[in-house]
Amino acid sequence: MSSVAIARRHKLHKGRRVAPGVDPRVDTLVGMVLALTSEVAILRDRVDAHERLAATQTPATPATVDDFVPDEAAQRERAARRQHLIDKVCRPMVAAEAAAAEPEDATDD
Amino acid sequence: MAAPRVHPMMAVSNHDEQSEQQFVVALKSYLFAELDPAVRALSTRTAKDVAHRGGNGAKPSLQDIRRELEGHEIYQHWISAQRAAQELMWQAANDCVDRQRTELDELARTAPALGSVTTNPDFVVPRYLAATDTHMMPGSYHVDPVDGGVRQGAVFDKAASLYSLGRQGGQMNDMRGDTVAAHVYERFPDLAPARILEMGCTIGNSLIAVARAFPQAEVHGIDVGASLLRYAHARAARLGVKLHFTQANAERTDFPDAHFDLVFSSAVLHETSAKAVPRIIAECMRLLRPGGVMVHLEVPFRADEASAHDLVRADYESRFNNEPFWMGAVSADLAGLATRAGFVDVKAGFQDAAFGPPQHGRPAGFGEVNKGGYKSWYLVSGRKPGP
Repeated sequence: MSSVAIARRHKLHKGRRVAPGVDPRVDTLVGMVLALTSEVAILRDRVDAHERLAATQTPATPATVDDFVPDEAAQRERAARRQHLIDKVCRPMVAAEAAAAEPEDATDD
Repeated sequence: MAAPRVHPMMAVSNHDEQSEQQFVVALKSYLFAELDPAVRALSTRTAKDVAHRGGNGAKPSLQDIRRELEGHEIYQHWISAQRAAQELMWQAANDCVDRQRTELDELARTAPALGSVTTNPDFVVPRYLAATDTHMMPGSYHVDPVDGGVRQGAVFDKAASLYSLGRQGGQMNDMRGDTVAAHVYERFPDLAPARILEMGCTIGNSLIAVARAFPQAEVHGIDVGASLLRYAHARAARLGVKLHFTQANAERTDFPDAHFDLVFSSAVLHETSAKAVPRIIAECMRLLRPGGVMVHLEVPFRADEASAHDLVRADYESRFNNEPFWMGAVSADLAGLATRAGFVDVKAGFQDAAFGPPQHGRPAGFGEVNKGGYKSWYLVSGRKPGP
């Protein structure tokens, strides 16, 4: 296998399947939205690092941010924000299920 | 400074990589907490409806349940989102490892001269592993970089604790090895193995735990991937543990007859095939000295006692997480296969997960009760007849 082919194999897994009944475009979009959400989470943590460095008068350079390790309190705050972000992005999936499980229209009762 | 290494070979995560990995864990946890219960409720309801329509009291088949589920939006999202989370997990591990590949290869090259690693450039990967990438890991166990190195092993190690959300022994990922050792202590308390072999050892995470339980033994591991094994060797050597690794197929190795006192595998059989499992058990028989012990640890799930949701989850693992023999392995009569291969004193059951090194003489919880994922494992073990 050529090095180009190997690099491709290290990026994309072999044997990817879409479930019967799933619109492949929706399937792809779910993957793209969650990948983008991952980038938002990373960026939000990076902003957090900038703010915490600023609070200690430390210049925020690529190196100081790359090496920044949040303390426990900061980690808890970050985890809560990450959770909120995921809740927000995934809410429509859960909402669709909740709506489907609701009883039929009761306005005739 | 960046987050510390868990052990000397583990790729170090910088700030953004740490965030990327924490996102994957949070997303997987969210899907488990929020989407999984909805799919569980739907699967249970659907199974009841299908059974009711059947009218003969028979348990509905997975195929019947699945046919109904496929039309539901939540089931479709559950599959898409779980797969996306798994793909993001591998991406996160790849990003972290690829940034420091040169350093990791160098760490492996300069590891202490402890134990050994033997790879085979002509090795043929069994078809059941070559056909798809297990767990969706790009390149799976065996697609190595042209220049060799430890890349696939480093990726596997980095992702392993994210995959199980740290529930298999944290970032050392050694809980399954401790569980195998606990099982041997409990069922075969007199066994004092001089040589041990693990089949399908990947990066040696379980093997280190078993070696710790039997410090006098010469300890070997085999797997199909050269990069995994180079990494496994460097990882063990840098942790000060002497292990020997060989690239080999568990169905037929080059070790002499009656060479080992204990041969085991850990969550490997379900990644093989219906034809391979009896061959692997036969190879265990050949490799063991009379009186030697075989142990296979498997996922804590048996198809015959599974709920509708268990079946739906298992089906996901088989079809979408690229473990096509999962359903076959959890349906197979492993104890019967071992008995037919000539093993005696064969037992199959559930072993409590061991968190930390087990102790001799203390019951470790082997019996018929399945306590569920990450709390129990399904184990089958037996002895080769002889003294």
